[in-house]
Amino acid sequence: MGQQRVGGWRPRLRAVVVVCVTFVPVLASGQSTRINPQSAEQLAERAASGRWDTFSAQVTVRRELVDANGQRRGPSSEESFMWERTKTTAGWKSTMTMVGRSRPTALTRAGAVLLPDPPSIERVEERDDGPAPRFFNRAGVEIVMPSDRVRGRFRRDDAPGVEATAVERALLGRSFVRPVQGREWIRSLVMSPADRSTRLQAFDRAFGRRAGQVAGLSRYVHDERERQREVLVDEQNAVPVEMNVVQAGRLVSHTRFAYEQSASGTTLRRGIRVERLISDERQVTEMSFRELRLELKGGRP
Amino acid sequence: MRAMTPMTAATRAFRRVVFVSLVALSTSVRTEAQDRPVVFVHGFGSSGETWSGAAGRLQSTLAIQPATPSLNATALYESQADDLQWQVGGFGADTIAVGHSNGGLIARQWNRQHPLAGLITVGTPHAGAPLVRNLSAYAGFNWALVWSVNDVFRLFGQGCCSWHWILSAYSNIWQLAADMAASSLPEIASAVAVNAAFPVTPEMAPGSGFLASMNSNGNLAREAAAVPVRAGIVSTAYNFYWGGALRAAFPDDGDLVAYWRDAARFGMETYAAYIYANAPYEDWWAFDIAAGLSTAAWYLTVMDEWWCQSVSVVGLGVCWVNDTIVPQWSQVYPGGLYIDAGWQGPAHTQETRMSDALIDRVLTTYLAVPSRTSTPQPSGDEATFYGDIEFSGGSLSTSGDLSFVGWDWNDSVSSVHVPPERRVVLYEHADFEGESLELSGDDADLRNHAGPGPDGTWNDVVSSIRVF
Repeated sequence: MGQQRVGGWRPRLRAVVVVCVTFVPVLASGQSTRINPQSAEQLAERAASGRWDTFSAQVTVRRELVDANGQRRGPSSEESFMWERTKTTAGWKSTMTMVGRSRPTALTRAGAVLLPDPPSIERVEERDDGPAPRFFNRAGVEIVMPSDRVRGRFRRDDAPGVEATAVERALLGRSFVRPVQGREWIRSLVMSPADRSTRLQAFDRAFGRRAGQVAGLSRYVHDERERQREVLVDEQNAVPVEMNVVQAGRLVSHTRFAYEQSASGTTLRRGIRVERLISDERQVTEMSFRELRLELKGGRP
Repeated sequence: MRAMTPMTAATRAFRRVVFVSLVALSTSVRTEAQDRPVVFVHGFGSSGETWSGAAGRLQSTLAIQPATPSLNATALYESQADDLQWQVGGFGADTIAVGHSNGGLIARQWNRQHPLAGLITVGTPHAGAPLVRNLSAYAGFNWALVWSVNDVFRLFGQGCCSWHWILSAYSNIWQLAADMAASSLPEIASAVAVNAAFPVTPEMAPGSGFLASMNSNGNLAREAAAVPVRAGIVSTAYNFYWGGALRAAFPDDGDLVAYWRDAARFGMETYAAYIYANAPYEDWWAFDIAAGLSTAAWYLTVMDEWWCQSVSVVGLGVCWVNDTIVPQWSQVYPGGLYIDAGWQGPAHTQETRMSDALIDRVLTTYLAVPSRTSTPQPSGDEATFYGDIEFSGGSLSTSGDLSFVGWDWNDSVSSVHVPPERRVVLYEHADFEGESLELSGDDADLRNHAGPGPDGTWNDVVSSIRVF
């Protein structure tokens, strides 16, 4: 299984991979929204102390489609979002705000021009206690989602988009209650060395015993009907480094995880790179988390 | 010249009678002997009816005698031109032709057998419509987009239940995005002839024999000598890029469908990030869901660029400014006047309804069509529409109906003054279409009325107005 690779991928396995983000997104507003990031050590201390009620990070997403020869096909995209989660008396309130994107250009008779920014949706707000997500455009105006009646105007019976059976299967008999959360979720993002054995036990429960070692990493394998999943785990830090999914002899998904480690051994999730096989092409997604902060704002914005 | 389309004598006679009747019925303004005949030629996916509103409006202010014949829009350009000659060939050499989309090329072809004093094209693909060649590539992309949203639901269906709460917030929006994408192509295909089975379709492709002949130096020289005034109205649709094929398919709701698409992909981005940052690593089902969300978000993100490239040049690769269907470079009338509708222009299928001002300009400025003597409007009973709430900002006043408020005022009205004993009806779309709101008195803030606007109110959504 470890020998099967799509399009000449060569996994580079390292116990800890520090993401080096080299691109600077072109900001939609033309202005930077940089804030002072906290060091891994500061984040670890703040997470352990519980004296924080606001988490924020800049999420940068780059995507492209590449063919079997590794050549990019079609347009690519690069966008940055500011993600913030604030603890309120009713639960967590989350906002995702677009802070940067590559502005498109178009040709005119006078040459290439940068297109003006449309008033697109640039912020979504959600709360754990149940209300529907709220969307806001660039001007801060809330955009209302359409009613069932209005939605019907944009669906042709001769061109159904989503298969009703797929939706029914996804929804049938499910519970849609969002789990109530305290601050424990941060332990998945800011991983303490004290939780190392807990994390390894979770791997063991999910995958069974490890199936060997590859390049110094523990190899776990899980058979899922027609698919087989392989996870390579850095046991020292109890985090996965790579995950591969093989179906019918083809590698259909290849994921690499990136981390940053503090001097005291705390491991931060810093990014992920996912390659998915779609027909004969690969969709490549790189998502990075930067400028992480944990703050005690006490209700202050 | 090609042979005329086979048609029985009885059919011709019937169509002629029907056509003449339609013109007579549609003419509410009494024509005068000096009125110039203006033939409005429709494009694909429509009939003479598509021009009836503009023809009537222009006739009310200009000394023109309009005709709006209906043609078999799927037939070869040459056949349609022959049919046009059959229907309105009796008009004199002072005739002016106004053609939308393919109608512009039909009018040019008609001129090979009928003299014209002027020829105005609107959104016409003079050098071809690249979409004809690129549609199958875009259809492949669109199929993948719809598949990716289906895949999100499939992935949720493969496990239970710790992440299903995400669906409670987003399943409707994600379904809507996929439904709109799936429906967009048949909507567009029915509107602009991108169906290989139609005889006219190959002729629309850039580099076709028909277009090569039409734009040959010889024919352009002939046109220059034969038609004193030739003008191409070139439109770059308002927000043409944003929403891609969705805007092309649903132009009257262009901003709305783009907003909803944005919302769908924003939700996908949010939860892909949420899972990648927070899901326990042993929860591989969550990572599958996140990958599916990320893929679908990407398709929804790049659909604008894909569509722009699909309508821009054969083989894709670059994005040209366009009217959602025809790129700017192809709308230019070779050797003719360049009349720029600017970057706030109508989308392709709106051009017959929303190009009055520019057609009027060409008719009056370049073709010396005189204004019709108008009856002065009574003063003091005008309704006034304001750009801001509380009757502030810029204002627009009228005592009569406006089938389109114009690009400066489209989707911009926030408060309304209604004169005593009069009523105003606001419409969501041009030509008094879409949802409506009747006001019998002043209204200082249209946000107080639930409506079809992006914010769920009647603020900034009015496109046409009736005043009673």
